[in-house]
Amino acid sequence: MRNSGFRQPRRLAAAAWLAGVVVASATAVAAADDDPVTRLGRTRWTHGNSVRLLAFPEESWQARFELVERARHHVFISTFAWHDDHYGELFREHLVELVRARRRENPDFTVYCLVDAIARGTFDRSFRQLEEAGAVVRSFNRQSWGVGPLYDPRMHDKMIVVDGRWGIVGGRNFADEYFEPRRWWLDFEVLLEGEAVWDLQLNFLKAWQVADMFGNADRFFLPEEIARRRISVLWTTGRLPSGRSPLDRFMTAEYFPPVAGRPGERSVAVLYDSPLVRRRAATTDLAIELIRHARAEVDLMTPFPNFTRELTDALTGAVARGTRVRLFVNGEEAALRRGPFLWAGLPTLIELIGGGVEVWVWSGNGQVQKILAETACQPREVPPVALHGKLLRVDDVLTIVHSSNFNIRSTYYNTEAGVVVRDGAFNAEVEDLLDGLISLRDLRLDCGDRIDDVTVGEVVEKLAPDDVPRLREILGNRQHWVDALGLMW
Amino acid sequence: MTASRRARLLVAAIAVAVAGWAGAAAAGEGQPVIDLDAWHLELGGADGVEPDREADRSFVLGVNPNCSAVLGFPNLLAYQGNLYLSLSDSSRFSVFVGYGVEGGSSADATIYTLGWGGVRKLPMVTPQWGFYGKFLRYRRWEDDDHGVHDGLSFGTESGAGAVAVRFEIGAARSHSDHWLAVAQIALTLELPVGIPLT
Repeated sequence: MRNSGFRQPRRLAAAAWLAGVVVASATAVAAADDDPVTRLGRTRWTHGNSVRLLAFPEESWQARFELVERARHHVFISTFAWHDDHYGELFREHLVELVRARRRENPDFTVYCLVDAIARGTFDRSFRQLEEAGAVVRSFNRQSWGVGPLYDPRMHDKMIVVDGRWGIVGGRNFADEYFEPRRWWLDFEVLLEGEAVWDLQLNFLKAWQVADMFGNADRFFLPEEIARRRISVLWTTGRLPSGRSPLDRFMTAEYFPPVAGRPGERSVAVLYDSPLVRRRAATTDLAIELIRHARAEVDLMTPFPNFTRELTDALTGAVARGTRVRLFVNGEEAALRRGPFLWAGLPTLIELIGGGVEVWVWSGNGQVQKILAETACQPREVPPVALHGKLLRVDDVLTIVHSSNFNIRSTYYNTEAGVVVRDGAFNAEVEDLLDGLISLRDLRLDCGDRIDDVTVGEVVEKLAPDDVPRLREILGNRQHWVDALGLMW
Repeated sequence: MTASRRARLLVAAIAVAVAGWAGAAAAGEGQPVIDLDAWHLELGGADGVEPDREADRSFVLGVNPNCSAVLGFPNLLAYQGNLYLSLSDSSRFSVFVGYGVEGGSSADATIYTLGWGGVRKLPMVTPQWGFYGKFLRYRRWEDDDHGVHDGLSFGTESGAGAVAVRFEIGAARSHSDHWLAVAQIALTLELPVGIPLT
């Protein structure tokens, strides 16, 4: 129990604050059953949050740095991938320095990093310095070589929580492609402050415990059914089947400090999916329900549009009701992964185009890079190489920013984390951004005063029924193969 | 010090200790200040595990014939064939037993397997059966140079559709106290079949 420096007033304030939250929200419980967000998302609404959208690489990078700099008690990080490249190393080195400095002042300063085993690699040593400085690094699950799908979820959520007060959650891992301003992937995260951070942190702590369960001898000797049940009970109740809770030691005002006032005005519900807890992701079910009830507009972005039947039907059903549905995905040139990963999404795209969904494909800035290499043009900003963002915008109030690709793997095999934001201004900000992407259809690069602007042409296009034969040609005779391996991205 | 004085001091010491403990407890020292149960009630998860997990509980008899290419000790390169029979209720338990043979350049074996795991349905777009298990094995090795060995090993195997990977480690000892190491990686082709019983 890390209780050094723990003060009674803080503890009382935390208890009083939580009691207030519980009482206040109790009145909303009756109505909760009618709210698809709380009912399907297995979550609660938190209010008075500050929520800032992080859509561009520089602001996201800066927000990360500033966030961990604020840390006085703990930093929790979960991520799918943490590369040994420039930005991955830079952040890791920054954390090493931070841990050393903070632990000189406070030996209880804690940094937990949770990285998926498959992305980390079996013999990875890149976290050695961080561990030597005092951080604890765990792998989530283990290497599977692709043939252990039953007890084999991958941790695909990405979050940073600092001191239980601030958090970042969304689609970015730690690698150059997320932060390099000249060759970046468009992605979305939110910077949170307020009550929602508590829920985010609770999910991290559960994932931390689950990773520990993977690492001990139980992993071998405990039958899978029992291990999964223990995890499921822990997640849904906060306690193991025995009634004991490994989370108890974190339920202090140091880990969960009371929120001072209202940092903002936005309502946020935290979403977390784990295939060890539920067979289908709550986020996918929620997305389907929201789309089914959309009245005017639906915008969905994902780099891997290999959807479940229900989601595809919900999207085409919305169009049939007169709702404008836009899907933003990568085209063949900008595909993050090729081969089966690309083919897997094509049957969905073909069906959605046939169903009247506006499918906008991003062709990336490969040609921009070529033009920059051939000319002296040095524009201040270049468009993203590819789309990696995952979001859903429904009508003019609700927006989901998430790590989930809303596809089959995210629905059945990955842990995923994100938020639903209920706020018109936030929703409008996202809409503006998506409209901005479409406006890049005829891109001209501003090369400054001394050099003429360069016309790039189309970097985004709307697919029409005429494009379907081309998609079928790319898919070839692999339809059956794609169906059989539908779990792939 | 008289006995009565010692007794009074002992009582006083116990009283101080109890008072100290009670005071610390009242102050909540070391105790969580956040009501985890109330929080989970609010999150909507306090009703326990996912309801449909219980509803989906069904017994499945699994049949999993498979053949493997084996790399490792004692044969370096070997072939192996096994037949597993599994029983799973998809929710709380699963067990399997197996019989098989192994052949290689220096030792042949008869294999008896007892494991936990079994044939299960995978939630893919096109549902298919997979196999997942951890096992203990007894082998009767016929070594070309040192005769019969009795061997024990343990390992894990997982597969989706027609492909699986198995890891195994153990040892075997002959009646003349000769030892064989068993350390294998196997690539397996399999045909897992599930027969629903309920």
